[in-house]
Amino acid sequence: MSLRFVWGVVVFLVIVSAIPPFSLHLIDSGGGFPGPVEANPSNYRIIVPKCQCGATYRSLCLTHPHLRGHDVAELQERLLTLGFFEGKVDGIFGISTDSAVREFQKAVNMEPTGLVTDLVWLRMGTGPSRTLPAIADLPPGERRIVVDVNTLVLTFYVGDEIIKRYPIAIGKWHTPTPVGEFVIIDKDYAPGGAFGTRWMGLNVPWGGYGIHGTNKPWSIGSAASAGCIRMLNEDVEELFELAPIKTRVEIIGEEPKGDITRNLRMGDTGHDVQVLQYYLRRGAFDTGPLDGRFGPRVDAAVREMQKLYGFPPTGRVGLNELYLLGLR
Amino acid sequence: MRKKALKVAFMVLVTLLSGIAIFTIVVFNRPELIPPGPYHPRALLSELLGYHVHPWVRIDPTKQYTLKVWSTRWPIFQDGYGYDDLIEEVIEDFQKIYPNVSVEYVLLPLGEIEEAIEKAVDNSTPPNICMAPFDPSLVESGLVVPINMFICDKPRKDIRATPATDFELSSLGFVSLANRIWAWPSWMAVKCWAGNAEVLREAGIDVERVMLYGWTYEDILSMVDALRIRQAGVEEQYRTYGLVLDTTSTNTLDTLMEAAGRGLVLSPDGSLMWQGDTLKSSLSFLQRIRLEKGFPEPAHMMSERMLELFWTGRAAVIGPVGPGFLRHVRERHEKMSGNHLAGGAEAVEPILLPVPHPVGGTSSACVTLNAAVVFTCPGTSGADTAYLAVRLAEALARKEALWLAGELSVVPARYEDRPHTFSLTPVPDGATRRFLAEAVASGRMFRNLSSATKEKERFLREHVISPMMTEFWQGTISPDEFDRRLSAVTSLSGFE
Repeated sequence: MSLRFVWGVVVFLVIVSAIPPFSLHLIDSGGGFPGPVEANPSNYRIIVPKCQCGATYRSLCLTHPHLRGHDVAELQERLLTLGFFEGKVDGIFGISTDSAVREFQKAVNMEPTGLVTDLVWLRMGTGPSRTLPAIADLPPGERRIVVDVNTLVLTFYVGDEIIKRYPIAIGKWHTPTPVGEFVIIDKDYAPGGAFGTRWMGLNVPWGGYGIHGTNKPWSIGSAASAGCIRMLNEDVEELFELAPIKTRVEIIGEEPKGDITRNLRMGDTGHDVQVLQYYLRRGAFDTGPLDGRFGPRVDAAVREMQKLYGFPPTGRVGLNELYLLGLR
Repeated sequence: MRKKALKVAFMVLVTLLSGIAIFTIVVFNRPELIPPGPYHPRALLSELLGYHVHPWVRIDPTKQYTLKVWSTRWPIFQDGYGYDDLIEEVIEDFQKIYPNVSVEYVLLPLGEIEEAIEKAVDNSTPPNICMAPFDPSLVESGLVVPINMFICDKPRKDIRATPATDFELSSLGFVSLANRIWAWPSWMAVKCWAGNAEVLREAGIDVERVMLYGWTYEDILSMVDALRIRQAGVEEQYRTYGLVLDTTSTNTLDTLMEAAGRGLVLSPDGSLMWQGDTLKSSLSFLQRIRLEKGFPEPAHMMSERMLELFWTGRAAVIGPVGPGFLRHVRERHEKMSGNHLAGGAEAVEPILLPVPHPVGGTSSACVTLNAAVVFTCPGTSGADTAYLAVRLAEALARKEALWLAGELSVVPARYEDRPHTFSLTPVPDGATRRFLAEAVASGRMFRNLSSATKEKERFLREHVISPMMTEFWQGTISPDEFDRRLSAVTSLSGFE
């Protein structure tokens, strides 16, 4: 009995030790606020939490139970466009999807494994051609990026001069690209997979969002990502060289929506802080960038509003302040 | 010989008397007969009276002047037209008359200008013009320029001077000390409370009468009592409260003491004003309302729900409110009419109300005055620069008042600017306009006259009265104890 128990413990320990340790990269993918990062100028490789787009970087195949997700739906949409898939785009990797993948693989002289890898993704797309001129020497001035989620264009500015415009893909309606004003806080030279050839992380407080390349170039020009700004690899490679860390990135689009359901004060972060910043700005109070961070500038703006309307300048946002902003 | 000497003496006398007569005529009746300049009799007279900055100061057209202006960055825009646009416009107009004057202006965050100007005056580095709430204690620095010579009794032909009758009399009174006028009055704001007219009427209050003649503590207590009776059996979460007051700092007590005629904690000689029956009656009034369940509980946190209870029709009176309250009302009404408010809103009829006063006292509003003060900067500017500053300050004071009165419930100090601004103001009805006009005409302004007393008063408010008010709202200190402790602190030898 005791021998069997010892044997059981040994087997258990062997199994546990065989499980590869999860890296933060996987566990935190798409959530949480990026912590302090260490710069490594030799190859820009910095491990930071990534956006949900990383979740698309998984090999797809027929399994039981069937794989589900927006990456499967994206695959189905592409196969539908290419004429290999005739079923319903439901995001479920079923038998019809498997058949379509195999048909496609045969058509492009690949082994019909039914396994959708990076290579398969790349063979499925050509991507829109670049029609914009190459960049000459940059004039002096502040470099900044403006992303318009309505026109699906990323514009790179130096000062007020437009240097170049790039087509992009943005988040789907249920995983929208965050609107606001952020900065690039980290860069990754070769993230691979769904991130393409470059990654530039943004300081969005409520998730790991960034500007990156893609392995699905045909998706550029559509709302296809999990919230990140997706670019063609050749474009993101160019932008990567132009935009250093701390470059301002203004993402313009629909006004931040949502309710503020908690009292806010200095140090708070989140989408509700961004909503607050947006409404303060609409009331002519200067909050700085719409970055979802309740910092000293937001604090000063709240106090200014309280003073203007004759309320004690506490810097805290409670019910009175929501009424003043018209949010109640 | 003697006859000849007498004749000469007579001639001298006649000449002298004629000279005096001509001088008198010129000075008091026809000053325009002599061209303006530093040797104009009136200029000499002004110098003699101690006014070194007067309308006859000569401006050198070849000299380059620079004026520094400090004001507040008002976070208000009218169709994209902001406060800095207003200042630019005034400067542009000024430079059409004085092209050799450049103006540098600094706009400080709202509410920070008073402290900034105090420090600048302490360091003898004030700007030439400061647009701020008028602080009489700055006068003792000797850096403030009196502007009496620029204000006249009736319109003048010889020089540009503004008739005193253009101004609300009280506003000139607020900026006058020792028979000198120390600033251009710009606009006045009334410290008041606000109410829901409908709820007040239901509780038996004659709203229009209160707005005109004021009300007493007893009137409020009757209103609270009437509300309590009307709401017998109503659950707590649906109750309407008589008062929802600001429990932070000393704000509520300030207004009550001002209405009782004791706006300052300390008198000019440093003795305690907030003591005895006046203080105890104000605090007892608040305590009685609490006992009558006129406040939402917990009372010490009621200010956090002030607007919620007001806009849901569950507060009869809120206070104190500043000049921005009616702006908030207007914005909310605009949103309501455009259906831009999530969840809709109940119709509330907001009105401004005077602060109640003790029984037996008289109603008197407390006002604050914003003014344009001109400073001389020792060693760097002369009378000519100060003259230009006075001229620019007058234009700024007037323009600011006109502009702000269109956005906030403030009253321009000049009569002729009122009809125009009242047409722009968010002031909703005639009664409120009348209330504001009456309040600024008969109201009082409480400011410390010396910087030493001001410092002591500030210390008392922040470190003694404010913590005691927190205890009071929490119900752990009685009015008697409050009075006793405050008197004890001020009687300490170290305090003096």
